[in-house]
Amino acid sequence: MQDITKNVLKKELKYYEKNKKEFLKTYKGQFVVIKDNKLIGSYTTEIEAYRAGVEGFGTASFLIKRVVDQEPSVDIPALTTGAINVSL
Amino acid sequence: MSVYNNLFLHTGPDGNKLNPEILLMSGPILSVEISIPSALASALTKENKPTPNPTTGWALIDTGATRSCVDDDVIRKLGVNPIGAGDIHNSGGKQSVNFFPAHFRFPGVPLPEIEFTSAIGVNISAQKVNNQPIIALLGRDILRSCVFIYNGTLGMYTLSI
Repeated sequence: MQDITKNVLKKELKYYEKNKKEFLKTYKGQFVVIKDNKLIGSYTTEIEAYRAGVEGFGTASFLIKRVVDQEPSVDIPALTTGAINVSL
Repeated sequence: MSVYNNLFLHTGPDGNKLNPEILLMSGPILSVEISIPSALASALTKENKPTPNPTTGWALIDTGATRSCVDDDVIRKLGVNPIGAGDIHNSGGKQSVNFFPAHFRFPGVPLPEIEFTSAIGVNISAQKVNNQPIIALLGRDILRSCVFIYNGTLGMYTLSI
């Protein structure tokens, strides 16, 4: 079984960061698919991007990234406060 | 729009009665089946690879979560690759996480399937309700398309998608 704790998208994420300024000029607000060091396409929705990625690369890994100036913060308070710790 | 009323009942000598304490202890949960999106299932078939079996457990509706989450072990068993990565904020600062494609179905519940969501892989299955693990958190990315009414006084909630 594949070890998902490894960051299999390291190369793609690096490529995105390197080219982010350029992407913002053309694809702002869209979802881009990146494989290795190549932009595959841009899409209006994440599911469109996903379908395109799977069509192109099957079960291999690829990155979907929404092109935005600032990455949205992700908060999951229940995980840190223990609020979901239940036992009935 | 499909509407689901989940009543948290206690069975006693007088029959079933709504019990707010059960909702208080469990939180707003519903049964969920997590599998891979159909696009990926088709790709596996094309590559003559087996489609992994879905995993069933509880989903907890979590209005505090920006994005939905799936349990790390469940995702491992599905054998899918991440499609993104990012940071979540917790008490210790930032933590790096992966985002995975997932398909949610709600067995026995009149709610539509969620064909695709990009969910955060986290370790939550140690949390159990009636000996069944919580394997997903339904966050505000899903709730943005829903009406959710939590009735703590009666011991029920309503979810419509």
